[in-house]
This record gives sequence, C-alpha cells and structure tokens, in this order.
Amino acid sequence: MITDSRVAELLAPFTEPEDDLASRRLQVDREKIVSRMVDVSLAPEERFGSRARIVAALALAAGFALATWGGARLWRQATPTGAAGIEVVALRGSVTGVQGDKSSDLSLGAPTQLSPEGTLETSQNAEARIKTSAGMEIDLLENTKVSLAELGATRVSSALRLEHGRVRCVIPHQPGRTFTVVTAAARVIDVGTIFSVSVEQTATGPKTVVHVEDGEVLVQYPGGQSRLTASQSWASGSEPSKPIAAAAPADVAVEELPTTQSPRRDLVKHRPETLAAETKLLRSGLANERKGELGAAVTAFETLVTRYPDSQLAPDAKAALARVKGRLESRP
Amino acid sequence: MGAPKSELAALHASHTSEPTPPTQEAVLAGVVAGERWAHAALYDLLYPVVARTLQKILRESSGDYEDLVQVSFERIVRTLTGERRVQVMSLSAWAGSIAAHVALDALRGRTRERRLFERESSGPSRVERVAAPSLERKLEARQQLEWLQDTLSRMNADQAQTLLLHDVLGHGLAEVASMMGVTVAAAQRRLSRGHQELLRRAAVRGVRGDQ
Repeated sequence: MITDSRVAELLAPFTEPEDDLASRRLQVDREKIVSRMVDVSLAPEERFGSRARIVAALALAAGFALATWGGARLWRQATPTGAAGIEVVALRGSVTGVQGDKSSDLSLGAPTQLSPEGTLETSQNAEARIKTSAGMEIDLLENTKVSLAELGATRVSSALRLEHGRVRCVIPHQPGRTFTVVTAAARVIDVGTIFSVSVEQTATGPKTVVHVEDGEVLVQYPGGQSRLTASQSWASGSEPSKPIAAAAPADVAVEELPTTQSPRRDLVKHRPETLAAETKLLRSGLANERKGELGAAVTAFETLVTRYPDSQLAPDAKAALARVKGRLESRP
Repeated sequence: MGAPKSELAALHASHTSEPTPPTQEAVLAGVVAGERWAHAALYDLLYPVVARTLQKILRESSGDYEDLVQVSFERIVRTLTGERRVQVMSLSAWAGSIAAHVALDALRGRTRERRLFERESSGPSRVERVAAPSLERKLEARQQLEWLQDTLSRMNADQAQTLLLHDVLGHGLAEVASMMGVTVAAAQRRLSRGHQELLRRAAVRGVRGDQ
C-alpha cells in the first residue's frame, strides 16, 4: 500500500490498469523456454551425475563454510578499520574473480561476498554488478576487467581501476567521500552521479571514454582536467573523438568549461543544483567579458566567489575577476 | 515455497496420467531431476505472473519480451535447483519478484544504451509514434511512463526493486523482506529511501521543467 499520495501519483503509470494489457497476445515460444529450463536444471548433472552432485554439493557447502569462516577471520585480521567487503552478482555470462592465487567463476544471480582485492573479469556477453557497503553500484559490461584493490579502501575515498572494457557507476552523493575510476589515461572522479567509463583498444593504443548520465564528474588527465555534467562525454587523446556524439577532443574543456593546468587540487563534493548555478554565473561572466561589458562580468564573477566560496569554479572565477579588474583599471 | 497444492495438482494432472496429484515437493523434485513435465508444469503455473509483471513494468511489447520471459524462468529454475534456497510465502509472488528484477535490469540496460549511443536521437521517438485518438492524453501518459521507467533504472537497484514489489506489485513488507532476503526493518528502510529518491527526482524534474 502506498501511503504517500505524491508517490502514488508518480507510480500511477505502473499501478493504473491499462486497457490493452490483458488483451495483448505477446508471442512466446513455450516449448523453447521449457527446453531451456530443462537445460538449465540439467546443466550440473551433465558433468557429475545425480549422486555425485549431491556429494559434491555437500562437500562444497562444507568447504565454503570453512573457507568463509577462515576468510572472515583472516579478513578481520588483515582489514583496516572502516574497510568493508563488497558484494558481486554475476548477472549473465561468465564472471571470474581472481583473489590471490585463486580464480573462481561466480554463480549466476547469487550474491558473492568478496574482499576488496584482486580482479574481477567478465567474458563476452557477460555482465556483473558490484555493490559496496557505501551504497555504490558498479556494473561491469562484457569483456571488462577491473582491479578491486582500492575499492572501499577507506571511509573517505575509494577507487576502481579499469583495465579494459566498460563500467557504469551509480554513486550516491555522500559529502566528504570520493570515488574514482582510474584508467591508464585518466582519473574520473565522481561528484555524486551516474557515469560510464570504457577503455577500448585501438590501433594507436588504449582509449578511455567517459560519459556522464546524471550529476557531474571531474576527469583528470596528463596536462589538465575537464568537468563533465549530464549527457557530456570525454575521450582520451589516443584517438580522435568520433564514436560518441557529445565527446570532446582530449585536452579540450567540454562546452567551454574551464580547465586548469595545475596539479590536482582537493576535491569537494557539490550538489548538482548549485553546480548548475555556479556554472551559469561563470559562463555569464565570461560572456560579458567577451562582449566588453566588464562591469557586468565583475558582478557575475564576484557573485560566484562570494555566494559559493568553496566552489571548484571559484579559482577560475577569481582569476577572471583579477583579469577583468585589470582591464577596468587600464581603461582611460 | 508455499504455492497452493491444488494449483500444482491440476497442472500436473494435465501433463501426466498419474491418478495421485503431485505435491509441490514432487514438482520441485521433478524440476531438480530435469523432468520435462515438471518444468512445463512450473512454466504454466508461473507464466501468468511472470508475463503480468514484465508487462506491468515494461508496458510495451518490445522485441526482447520473449528473451526476458526466458531469462526470468532461467533464474527461477537456477534458484530452485541451486544450493541457495529462498523462503517465500508464495511461489507465484516469488516468481513475480524475479520477473520484476529482470524487468528492472532491462530498464537499466535500455537507459544505458539510450545514453551511450543516443539511440533516441535518430528517427522518431517512441512518443511521436504513439497513435491517435486522444493523442495528447496518450502522449502525456507515455511521457510520464518513460520518466518513471528512466528514473527507476537510475535509482539504487535494491530501493527500486523494493518499491516495485511493494507499491506496484502489492506485496506486503514482510513478503518483500522475505523475497529480498533482508529483515522487515531493512525492507522498510529501502522502501522509505526509494520514496524519498523518487520524490527528489520528481522535484528536480519539476524545477527543470521537463514535464
């Protein structure tokens, strides 16, 4: 029962009866699906046989219990305070986890608890989902390999190293915490968002492509950084940007947002709604500066600096403010 | 699993000539043993709820509908034959929750594809393809549906699934908790957070004027 009337209203498209729902005759090949069901239930038996399967299941269960108990003990001893395990679910296809010397294929649909170490790899047509105790969800698409070593390492920051393939990250906004996807070409730092990162092999070497669905990320790369907001993309310079419509060439700020050549500065999480306002103010100031309306430009930059002193755009606004004031002073 | 025995008995009778109706355990044992009649019985028993759930969430008949039905039944069989058994109050409700999970995954996949490849930007949109009569009302309803599907696909998966199971499919909190393998308190928290997130996204949408 939905207690909130506004929630009920929003969910109405699902809860209202649809006239043609019952009358639809969607074609499904019953025999094909039943055959597939039989294949699925027979799959383990083809290898072991019924009795051996039961014995193997019992042995596996006992081994798993022992390993879990021993692993938990080791984990408690080895894990620093604040670190947490991660849950991995193989959604389809073959998903392999490698921790230490051991490699194991994950069972489809069954959550598997892993410590944040080693690697996780999906094969062709496979997909897996990582969930962390901090509420992050990371989908690994097919042919993807990631390193889990820095995932959930501390309370304030965690990172996923993407060797190849593509990941999609749903990161809850949590002030004071950062999450980063690291590739050979870039560091993609979230600011509470949904984004994808892929590393593709090209003739000129691996290429990193970042696409933001919601919120904002900061992409750092040798020589600078770019801020991406919803629907924007970035591609590393190893190949001209062509596969994604919104992708900008490497080393160029997306949609005229400023880049800096300075080393990485501390990152502060921002709420998307204020980021939009901050960006608007900066753009407004820059536009007025270009038009020669220096007074209006000063107003916009000063508003940004005073209203949002912790903004990541504040340094750019301050630099622009000094520049415009210099121009004003040099006027006759 | 608590599927009514009479349902299973009736189904079994239609597939075999045995005079004694099979128990639920017999059907499940038949599934584990790979007996085709048991799989067919299970399919016939659960197809209505799987189809209803998929169609309720996805609404339109997409090309991958049959694939989604198949994926749902594969997961059902894997869970029934696997080592991880779930305690649920109703077999059909449990199957519905699996289908809801499959539908949610499909929505997430569609959103991802749409975002990555700008599929929607080429050719007429789904909204534009909706036919008259009462076109405006249908357009509005379709836009609302697409926003809701898109929003759920972006939300935390556990919260979105809890919301679907409770608010859309009508399961009680205890049942949702059982289906998802969490405590009732945890299910309650997920539901509450799901509501908050839905309302927050609706508020952002309202501010942007996307409606």
